[in-house]
Amino acid sequence: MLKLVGSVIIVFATTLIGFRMAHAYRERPRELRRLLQAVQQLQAEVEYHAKPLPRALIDVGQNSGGACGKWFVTAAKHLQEDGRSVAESFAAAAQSIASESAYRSSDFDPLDGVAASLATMDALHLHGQFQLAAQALEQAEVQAREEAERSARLWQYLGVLAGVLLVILLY
Amino acid sequence: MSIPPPFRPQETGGWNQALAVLPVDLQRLLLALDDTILAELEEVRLRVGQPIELRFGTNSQYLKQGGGLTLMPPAAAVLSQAALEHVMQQVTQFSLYAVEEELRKGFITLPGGHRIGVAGRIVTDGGHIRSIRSISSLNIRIARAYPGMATPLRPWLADRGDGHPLSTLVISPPQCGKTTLVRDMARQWSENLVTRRRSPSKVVIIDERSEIAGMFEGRPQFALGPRTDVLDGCPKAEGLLMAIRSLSPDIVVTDEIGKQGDVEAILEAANAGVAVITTAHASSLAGWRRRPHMEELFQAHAFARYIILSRRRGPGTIECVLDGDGRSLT
Repeated sequence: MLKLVGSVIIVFATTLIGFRMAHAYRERPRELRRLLQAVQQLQAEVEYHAKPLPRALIDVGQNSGGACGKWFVTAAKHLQEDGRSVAESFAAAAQSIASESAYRSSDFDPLDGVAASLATMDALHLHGQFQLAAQALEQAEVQAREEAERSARLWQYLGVLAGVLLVILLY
Repeated sequence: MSIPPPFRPQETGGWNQALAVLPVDLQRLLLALDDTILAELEEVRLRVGQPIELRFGTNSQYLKQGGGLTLMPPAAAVLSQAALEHVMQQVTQFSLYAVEEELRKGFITLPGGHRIGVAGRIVTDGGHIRSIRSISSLNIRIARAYPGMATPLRPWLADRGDGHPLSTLVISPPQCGKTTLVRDMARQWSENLVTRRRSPSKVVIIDERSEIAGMFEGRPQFALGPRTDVLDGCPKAEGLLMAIRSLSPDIVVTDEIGKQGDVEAILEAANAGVAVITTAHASSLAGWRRRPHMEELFQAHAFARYIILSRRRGPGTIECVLDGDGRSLT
């Protein structure tokens, strides 16, 4: 009886791990889409409303919600309170949300160019940087979606089968 | 007869608001100065690699290393490139794109109505200023308001019969308080203080250079009264017509007229029954009439009052008030 309960727990645990990994793969394209929308909103705030960066980041962050919303709001706080540069504030904010989101560290790379330019370039030249960032995020989203289709199901099966295999080996 | 400025200036948001853009070490040096010195402070001049200069009216001194003031450059605190960059980042709020238009005009407005004048390499495009790069010096100008500056003028600003506001032109050389005076006139009309009107006047300020209202993020940094609307950063001629069409003002206030377009817009306002309160650079009415396009306004009786200012007894000294034909009323 004890063995049976143990086996059920093992299969349940490995299945859970598999589903969790699958969820991360499925969530990443959604998070990237949200980030893309947030970047486009930030572009509008910068180009059309000419809103100062900390205010623009807070407004866009609160509108977007999720991990990317938190990223923007945290970056704005770093700007206002720590006296860090724009690039440093974005990097510090990215680190603080990395563990609680489906993003990979490379997902923030497209925004490096924008972050480095925001404080020094006029709206005309920032337009190009925003376009590049948007294209890179779109591409990353497509790749993440393909990866999710391939890997999410694999991780689900892997979770269940690993549990079953473990139980067989233990018996 | 001349009328001296009535009151000492009153700080708007306080000079500490303007000094907050400086690096902490410089802020500390300035805040350690005596309050009476800070109360007189008009400008902080920042030039890369040069001593930090403080200007008080006609007096000028350097900020001393370790605190205090000095006239000796070797003893003065010198501005580093990093410090200038820090100030620019604070002033622009890390958003050069947000102050592009202001930079083209050569200054940025801060909370409290204070202004930062900017000097550096001017980038032109087709003969027009596109931006300023390699910024080498900044001038922090502390804004102060003179509430009550227009009070001695009240008897001449309104029609004696129906109390209707009269179109008024304030004439003076630079730095005599023209803008400060029209700002206070706008406030007094808006607060219905000039003459008690049953239907208080609605005032629209066309603030092309953001000097009258000192708008910061959509809010005026000076007291302008409860019946004042501001078209901030709006070209004068277009703004005058826009205001007349859409905001139904009794009074339109603007600054520094001088172009043909301004003349046409002022005549349009006069024909629409709207009083115009504005300023012009000149030392006398005759000098103003000699400027291009201005004689046309005088001949058309576009203004019912001319106020001549000087610095003879301090900035804001009212030299005389003239009627629409140039006859003295004082």
